[in-house]
Amino acid sequence: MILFTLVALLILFILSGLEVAWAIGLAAFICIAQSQLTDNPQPFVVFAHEMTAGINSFTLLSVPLFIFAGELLTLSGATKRLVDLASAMVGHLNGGLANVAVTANFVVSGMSGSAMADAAATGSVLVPEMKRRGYPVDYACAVIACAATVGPLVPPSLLFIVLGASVNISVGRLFLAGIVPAFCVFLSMYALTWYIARKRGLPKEPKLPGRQRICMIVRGLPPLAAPAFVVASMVMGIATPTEAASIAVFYTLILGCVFYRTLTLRMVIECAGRSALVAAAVMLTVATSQIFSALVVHEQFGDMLTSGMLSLSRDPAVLLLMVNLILLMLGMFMEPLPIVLVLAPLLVPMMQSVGVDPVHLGVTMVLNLMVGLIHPPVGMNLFVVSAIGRVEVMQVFFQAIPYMILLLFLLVGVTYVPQLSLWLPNLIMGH
Amino acid sequence: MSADQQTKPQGPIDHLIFYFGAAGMLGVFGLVFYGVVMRFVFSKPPLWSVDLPNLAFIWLVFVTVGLTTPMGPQIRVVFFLERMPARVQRFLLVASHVAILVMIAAFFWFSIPIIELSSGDTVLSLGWNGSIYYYALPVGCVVMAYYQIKALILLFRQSPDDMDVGHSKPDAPL
Repeated sequence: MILFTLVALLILFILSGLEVAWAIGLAAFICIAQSQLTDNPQPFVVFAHEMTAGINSFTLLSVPLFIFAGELLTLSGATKRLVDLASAMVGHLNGGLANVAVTANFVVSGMSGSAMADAAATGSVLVPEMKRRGYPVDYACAVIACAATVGPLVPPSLLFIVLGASVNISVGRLFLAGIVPAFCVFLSMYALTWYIARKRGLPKEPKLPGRQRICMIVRGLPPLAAPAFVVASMVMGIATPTEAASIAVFYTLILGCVFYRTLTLRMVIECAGRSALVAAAVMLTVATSQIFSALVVHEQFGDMLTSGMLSLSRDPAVLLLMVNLILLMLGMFMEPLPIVLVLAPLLVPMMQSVGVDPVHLGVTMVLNLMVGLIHPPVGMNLFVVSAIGRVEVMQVFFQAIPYMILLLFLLVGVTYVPQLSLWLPNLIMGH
Repeated sequence: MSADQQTKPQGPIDHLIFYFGAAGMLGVFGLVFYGVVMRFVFSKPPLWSVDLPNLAFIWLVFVTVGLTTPMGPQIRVVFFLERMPARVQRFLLVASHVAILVMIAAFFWFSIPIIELSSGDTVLSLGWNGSIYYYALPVGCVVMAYYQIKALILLFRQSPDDMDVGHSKPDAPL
């Protein structure tokens, strides 16, 4: 009964416009109050304790540092350079600016690790430009919203960090495991955009002289060194995720202040303040999700879920299908972060017991939750780009349907071909 | 959650908290980076290289999170809310602020036994009292309550027709 109340309240609060972090906390708070009337009351002190204990983790400390690095790169003009790089590479081919958006989102995702931040960063540069060149604005918004879903698969992915910290999986392995599926998402979205653009006769960009193109590509390369270094340092065992994040911040400071000379001390301080607010908002979600998780454990939801699923089948393929269906349903109403925090500690041990690799499951979960970012009612990428393009969310959603179907096909591939996610980490880090 | 979304800190308290956050973020970066340099260059990592950045981060989160109420980097869905009549919107917004205030009061109240329990511990690497981690929550509760009350007052001052329920935030992080 308490569990039912918990989920119902959570969905109700989220849909009534409450901030996600507070909605989770409030649902948990009401259920703890309700549990006082039962034989098995949950102490209120746990509620306050989990708030602090939930964020007291050295691995989670990498989240604010990566947010800070991403904000510094954006502020230093790196987004514009990366869009130019994408434009120089693919702008003159079929798909024009739409494929520039797909490519730009792929390269920008290495800066922020967040789908919504990527959609906002590339959307604010590309949507007005695409509008000016005659692209239908709803399609322009849809391409960017969908292309940004690749972000959480590309290192440094904030979702992978949170997942690794919550279920004790190597973040380095997760980062490597996301790379091949990310390439698959990127290449298939590129091909679909190419096909749609050709069919609709969307404009291409004029081909720039070779020298100018090379210059634009070279100018866009330095920001890409940051994610490359993060992955390399973690995979080689040189640095922990948090240490790698601090080095990424240092690198972006040098890039912005010394090489590009676009950052001033005042800008760095303002950027640190804004990053602190964003990090605090993320961590409030983490903290309240920990209370939610504690309640879920107290109500023995894990045992119920495990025994319920295992009673239906012990076949990993069937269980993976069930996990995907549960996540797709939850993704309709909830944000990826709380879903990962609440469900990963329950699902990972169960799936591990039937022989599913936790790294493979992690990548499947993250890709699955990306589908939720582009469909209503809680498709945050749709909201972000529709606000930028000043167009109705549902119009953007209808244009995004082919991309959503494509993502679902890719999800099936990543779910049932574990080598797509495990090949690279096994090759580099061993089994 | 407030009716008026700010993009910049306004007033001395906003500025104080914003710059506390900025100093905290730069401090956390500095501490972690110092630890990295000491470990890789001098092979002498400081004892506090994990505990002190964690402590700074917990304080940073709880003190600054209140300011996310007016400045709005929190994730929320207003798709249904903005389609409701103005009076229903106002009722829902008031009810949410009041519910959050009650929850903050509970956080404050129930954090006191935790502080008492942890006051006997010592953070070995720092030599400081263990309760220092848990003081951040009640301090943060005061800041959070201030911003919730401020948002409520703003809401009451506006007529229902002028109300802006906000929008999905482009800088929402995940």
